[in-house]
Amino acid sequence: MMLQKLIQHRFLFEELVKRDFKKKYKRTILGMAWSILAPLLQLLVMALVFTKFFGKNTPHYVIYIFCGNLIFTFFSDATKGGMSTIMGNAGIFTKVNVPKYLFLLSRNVQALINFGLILIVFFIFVAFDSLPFTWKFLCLLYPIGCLILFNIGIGMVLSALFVFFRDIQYLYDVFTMLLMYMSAIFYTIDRYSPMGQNLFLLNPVYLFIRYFRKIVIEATIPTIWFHLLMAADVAIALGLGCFMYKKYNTRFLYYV
Amino acid sequence: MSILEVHNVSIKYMTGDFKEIGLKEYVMRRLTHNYKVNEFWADKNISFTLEEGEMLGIIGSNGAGKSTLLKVVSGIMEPSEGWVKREGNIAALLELGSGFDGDLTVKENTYLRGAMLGYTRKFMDETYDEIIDFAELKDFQDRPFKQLSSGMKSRLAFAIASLVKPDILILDEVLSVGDGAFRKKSEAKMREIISGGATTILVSHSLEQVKELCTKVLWLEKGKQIAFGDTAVICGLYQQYLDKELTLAQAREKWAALNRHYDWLIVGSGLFGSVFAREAANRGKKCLVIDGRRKPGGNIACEDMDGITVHSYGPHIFHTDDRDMWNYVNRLVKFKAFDGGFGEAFQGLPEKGWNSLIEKLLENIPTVTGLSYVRLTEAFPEIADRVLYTGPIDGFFEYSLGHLEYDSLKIELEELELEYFQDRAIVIPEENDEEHEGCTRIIEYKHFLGEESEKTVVAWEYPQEWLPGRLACCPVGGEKNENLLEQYREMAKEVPEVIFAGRLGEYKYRTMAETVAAALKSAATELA
Repeated sequence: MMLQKLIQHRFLFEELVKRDFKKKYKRTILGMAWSILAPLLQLLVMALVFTKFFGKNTPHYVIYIFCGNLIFTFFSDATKGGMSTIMGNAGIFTKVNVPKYLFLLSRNVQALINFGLILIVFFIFVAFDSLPFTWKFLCLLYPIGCLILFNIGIGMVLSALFVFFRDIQYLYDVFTMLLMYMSAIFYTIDRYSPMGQNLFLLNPVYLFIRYFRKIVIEATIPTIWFHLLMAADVAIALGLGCFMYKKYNTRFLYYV
Repeated sequence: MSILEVHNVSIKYMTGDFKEIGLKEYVMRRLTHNYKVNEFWADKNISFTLEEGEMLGIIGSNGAGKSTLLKVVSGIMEPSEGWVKREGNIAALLELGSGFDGDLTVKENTYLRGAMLGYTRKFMDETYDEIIDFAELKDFQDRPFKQLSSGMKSRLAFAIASLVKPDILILDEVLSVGDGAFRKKSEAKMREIISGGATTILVSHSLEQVKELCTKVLWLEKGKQIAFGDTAVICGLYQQYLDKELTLAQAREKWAALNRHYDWLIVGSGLFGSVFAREAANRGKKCLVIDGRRKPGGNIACEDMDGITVHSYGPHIFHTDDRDMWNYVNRLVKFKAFDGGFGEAFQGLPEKGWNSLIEKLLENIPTVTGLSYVRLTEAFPEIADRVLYTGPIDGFFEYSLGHLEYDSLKIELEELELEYFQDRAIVIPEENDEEHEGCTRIIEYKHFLGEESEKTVVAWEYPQEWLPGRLACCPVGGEKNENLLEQYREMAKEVPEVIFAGRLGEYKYRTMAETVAAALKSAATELA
């Protein structure tokens, strides 16, 4: 159903993606370079500051942080950008009858492109750190796929909420900051009790980061349960998002 | 089969606390039971159907619910109640100028808008040059959109939108785009689309445009449906509402009255028609009275000028020797005796002016003014079983054999800052008045009813040649006119359900008393 509509509106979708892309990079090479540079600078600072504390006991510490940064940047970029998609396109859907999720999807495509660019840099770092590329790297497609869907789901929830509550923007900023500290991006969790370590698994973003580290640094494939847990998180986020869009689809108009 | 059916559609908006308060405040108010939401019906119980190729005009003041209704019809909004059934694809061109992205170039915006309107990329590639040429923006293609003037923006919007080939086309104020030259071009383009057979809905603030283009009209006011149906009739009512001659409730009432069936349709609300209508109503007949003029009363209609009752179509005094006729009118309203010099036993006029007599005669009888017989019967051909036609008999047959002639007067009304201009109501002027050369009578109206005012209203009457459209007073008569009348009477035999009566219908002059007598006689025969 959704796919059918997507095909029907393919031209519009393509134009929306183009629009978001152009607006993001402002048609400059520097614009594109900056979107890679920013997370790299963040990585640099983190590596400089935290290597002293965690670096000694953590093998491939730079890659360890990079995994966290890579995932977290994608997540926060896609969801923060996604939040404003309904409000930002009110001028369109109040005049033309188009599915509203198109705007969100196009914004997510743009975030995905950004993610792809950083991912390439990530692999270059991996190669420099003389970590072996194995066939297990193919498994990374699973968390990437899951993360895309997860981002869409959260984006739907946020963009719907943003229509009704404009202060969600600030609340979500605070939330993402807290989430970042709880996602073990620059620290390791092995000092916590087993119970405490399990609590980290409740954080979906941590799951994605952990998956990347397992494959890239430890060269092991996570358990089937780990996969299922991730799938469940995605299902919940996406389900909630779809539910909100379905329920409020016709009511957005009253609020924008 | 109808291509669009809107059934009992209501749309509810919510107003109140929910907007702009934010999540924290929302939670607080919810907890303290301070959260208030008000409901507001933007549209309530709207129903209409459109057949293929019809063009509907939606009229109404600002905030009437027109745009909201269009959003529901086009599927952008869901109705809170009721349903909409559409056959075929629909294109809505709503508020064209907005919804563009200022950072993108003109070309990029063109493609984006095209995509929104559901065009394919191939189509856009093929027609892009045409669009830019039409919008006259060839030199601006690669400029950021925000650099365009607002006129340019709407030109582009129109150029893109006008390529649609839908089954149902919705136009919200789009016919008024750009400057003069472009406006002409856009109107021509719009007509081309409409004549292509699309069923069209048009919202326009130009009543002229609606009258000219639309086959049907929907009148909304404050979310309520006032009328849906014939363009000319509804636009007439709407115009009277705009001119504050009718209240909304009256307009609604009149439209409802037009949608009923009657025993008698009385055309013309002059003295003959009104007396006949009263008699018919008293005999339990259902009557509808219409009048082509905006005010009822025919030539005895009065208007109020600073507290002075002015006879709009020349002075009228009721005079008769027939006690029955005098009693008849005196039973209706109180008369004031006034010696008009006719040498008859009973002479006078209503204390509160002639309008009060007409009002009394037409009391509780549905009356629609500003509506000609032709317009009415085009919209409601079966509205009544029988017709009493007190309009001009030649006019009924569209003057197909020529015009019957009348005397005519030119009346110049003047309001003077004097207490009195002359000592009597009617004065025949002296011949050497240069300013009012040719004037045959001077009438000072306040004398008729002895009204007191610091000002006075004086009318100068000049005989003038009668031409169609000018005030018709007495029939001229004569052989030529009598022959013509005879021919029209022959034609009248073809429409036995229509009775031609009154000064214009019979082409016969009568005094007011004679008119009342004739109307009563006619009523006695026809209504027996």
